[in-house]
Amino acid sequence: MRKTIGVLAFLLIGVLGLGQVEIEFWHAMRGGHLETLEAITAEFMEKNPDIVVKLVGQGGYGDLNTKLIAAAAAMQPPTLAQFYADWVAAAYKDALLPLDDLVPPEILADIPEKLLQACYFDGKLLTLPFNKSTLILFYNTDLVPEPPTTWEELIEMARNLTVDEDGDGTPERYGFGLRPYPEMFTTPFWQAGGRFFSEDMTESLLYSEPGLAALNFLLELKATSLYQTGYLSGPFGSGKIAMYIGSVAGIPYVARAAEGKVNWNTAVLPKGPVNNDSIYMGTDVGIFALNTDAAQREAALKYVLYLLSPEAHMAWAKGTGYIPFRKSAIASEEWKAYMAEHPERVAVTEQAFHGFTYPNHPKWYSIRGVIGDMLEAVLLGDMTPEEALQWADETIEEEYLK
Amino acid sequence: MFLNALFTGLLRGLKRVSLYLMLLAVMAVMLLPFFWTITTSFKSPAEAQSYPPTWIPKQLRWQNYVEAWNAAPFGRYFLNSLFVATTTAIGGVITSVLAAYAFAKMNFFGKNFLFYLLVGTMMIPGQMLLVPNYLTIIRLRWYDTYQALIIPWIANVFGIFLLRQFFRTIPDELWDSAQIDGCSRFRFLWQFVVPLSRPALVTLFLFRFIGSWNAFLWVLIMTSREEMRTLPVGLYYFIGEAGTDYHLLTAAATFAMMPIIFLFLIAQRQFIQGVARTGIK
Repeated sequence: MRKTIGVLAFLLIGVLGLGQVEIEFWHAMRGGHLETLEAITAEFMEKNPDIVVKLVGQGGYGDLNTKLIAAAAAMQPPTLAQFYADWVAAAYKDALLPLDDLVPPEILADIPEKLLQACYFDGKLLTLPFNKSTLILFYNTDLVPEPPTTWEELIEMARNLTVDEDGDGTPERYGFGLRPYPEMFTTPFWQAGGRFFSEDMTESLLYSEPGLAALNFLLELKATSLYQTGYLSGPFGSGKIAMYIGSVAGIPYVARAAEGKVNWNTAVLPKGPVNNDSIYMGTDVGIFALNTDAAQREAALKYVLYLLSPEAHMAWAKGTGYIPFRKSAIASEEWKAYMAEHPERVAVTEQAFHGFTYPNHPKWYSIRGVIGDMLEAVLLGDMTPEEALQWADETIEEEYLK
Repeated sequence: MFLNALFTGLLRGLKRVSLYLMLLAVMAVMLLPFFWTITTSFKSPAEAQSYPPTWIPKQLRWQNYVEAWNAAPFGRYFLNSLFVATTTAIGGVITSVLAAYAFAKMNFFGKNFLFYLLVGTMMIPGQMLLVPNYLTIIRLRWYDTYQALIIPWIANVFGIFLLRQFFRTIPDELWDSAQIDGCSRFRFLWQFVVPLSRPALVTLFLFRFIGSWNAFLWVLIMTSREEMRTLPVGLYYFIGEAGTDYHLLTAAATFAMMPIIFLFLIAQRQFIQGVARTGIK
C-alpha cells in the first residue's frame, strides 16, 4: 500500500511539477485588457498542462521597455514580451528568436501584409502582431445620418454641423474634435500618398505634396473643430462634438461617456487623395533567444501561436476592442454574429485591413516626437505648413538620420 | 490724533485682510487637486468623463471604492507599502544621524571633500543608475525581495545634508562640557544631539516615508511578483491606453494618500520647524 502511494505521489509530482516548463510573459496590459489576456492564458494552460505561463505586468510601455533593457543587459530577460517595433530595431534585434521557419506560412498569409511588415528586421521575422489598433471615425448618428467618405465631405459636414447660435464666436457645438498627436498627421499624410523616408533611410520626405495636403486638410478641419489635447470621448459623449477621429481602443470610453445622451457609431476613415488607410498602432510579441532554453522557446512559440489561433484571436478582439487581423477569423460565422450584435465593430473590422505601419527605425520614437511638435506648431499658427515641414525634415535628418 | 490712530488701525486691518485673502487664494489652489480627486472618486464613470466637468457629484457612488479596492490586491500593496516605507524611513534616519554627526561635529582628514562628493551625487539623475542598479540587485540575488526595496534606500545623501545643517546649529560648547563630565561621543549623540534635533528628524522621517510611499519605477523594476509590489504600482492599473478610469483611479488615490495625510497631520508642527530651521524650502 505504502509503495503504491509512493509511486502515485511520484507520478503526481512528475505530472504537476517536474515535467512543467515555466515561461514568463512581460506585458503592459491593464484593466479589462489584462483580464482578457488572463482568461486566454488560463485556457491555454488548461490545454497544455505541461506549460506554465506567468504573466508579469510591468506598468506602462515606457516602464516595460526600461525593464527590458535592464533585464537584457543582466542577461535575464523574460521568455517573451510585448515590443514596439522601434524598441526591437534599437536594442533587441540580436536577442530575439527568428520566427521565419517556426510560424506556419498559412498563418502569415492570413495576416495583412502591411501589418506584418513591422515585424521584420533586416529581413528576419522577429515578432508577431499582438495588440493592434487603428484610427476610426466616431460619429453622432443623431446628427450625421451617413458618415463622410472623403476628406472633402468630412470638412463640409463639420462646417455644417458647427453651431454658434448666440454668435459669441465660441460654438455651442463643433462639427469635429481635433486632438494634436503625431498620428493625426501621419495618417492623412499616408492617405495623400506620403512616404516618410527615402529607401536608404537617410532622407526625411515630409516636405512634399502629400505633407502639404495633409496639413492644409487639418487646418481647414480645425476651423470647425473643438481643439484640445485631452481625450475626446468626453465631449463626443456629451454631444459637444459631432465627429472625431480616434483609436478603436477608445470605443469602451465613448460607450460609457455617451450612454443615455447621444447615439453613435463608427465608420472607416474618410478617404484622402490616395487611400483611406489608418496607421496600425500597438505592439507585437517576440520570444527571447537570449538566455532561454529550447524547452522554454518551444513553449513560448506554442503560446504565441495559440494567441493567434482563430478562437483565441477572436476572444482577444472581442474582450479588448483591439482589431481582429486574421482574415479567416473575420470571415467566420462567429465573428459575423458578433458584428451583428455590435454595429460599432463593423467599421473596425473593415479598417483593420486598410492600414500602414511606420518604418522600423531605431530612433522612431524621437522622430515621431518631432512630427508631433511640427503638427502643433502648424495648428497653433506658429509656423506655416511649408516652414513646419521643412523644419521637421531638417531636424529629423540632422538629429536622427545622419 | 484720534483720526490718525483710526487710520493706522484701518490700514493695519486692511493689510491683514489682504494677507488672509491671499493666503486663502493660495490655499484654494493647493487644495483644488485634492478636492477634485475626492469628488471625482464618488462620480459615476460617465460623470467622471463628462464635458464640461462637474465639481460636485450628482450622486455619491461609494461602490467606486469597493471596485477600486478589488481591482488589484490592494490589501497586500498596502501592507508592503507600509512595511517598506516604515523600515526605509527608520533606517534612513539612523544612517543619516550617524553620518551627519560625523560631518557636523567631528574633524577628520578629507571631511569637506567627502561631504561635497556625497552632495555631488545628488546631481546624478536616478534613471541613469537604474540599469547598473538592476544588475547589482540581480547579482546579489535580491530581485523580488524586500531587501531590494529597502536596503539601497537606507543610505541617503539628502538626509545627511539635512541633518548636518541642523546639527551645526547645536553649540560646540555643549560637547565640550559633556566631554568634561566624561561623556562619550556616541552617548552625546543619542542623549543630546538627537533629542535636540527632533524637528529635523521628524522632517527627515516624513520625507523618507513619503518618498518611499510614492516610489514607483524602482519597485516596478526590482520586482515581478504581485506579492512584492506596492501601492503606486497598483494605481497604474486604472490608466489605460485610450483613456483612464478616473472614477476608480481617484478612489484608489484617495485611500492611498490617507496614511500620508494622517502622518503629516500628527507631525505637522515638527515638520514646519524642521523645514524652517534647516534652511530647506
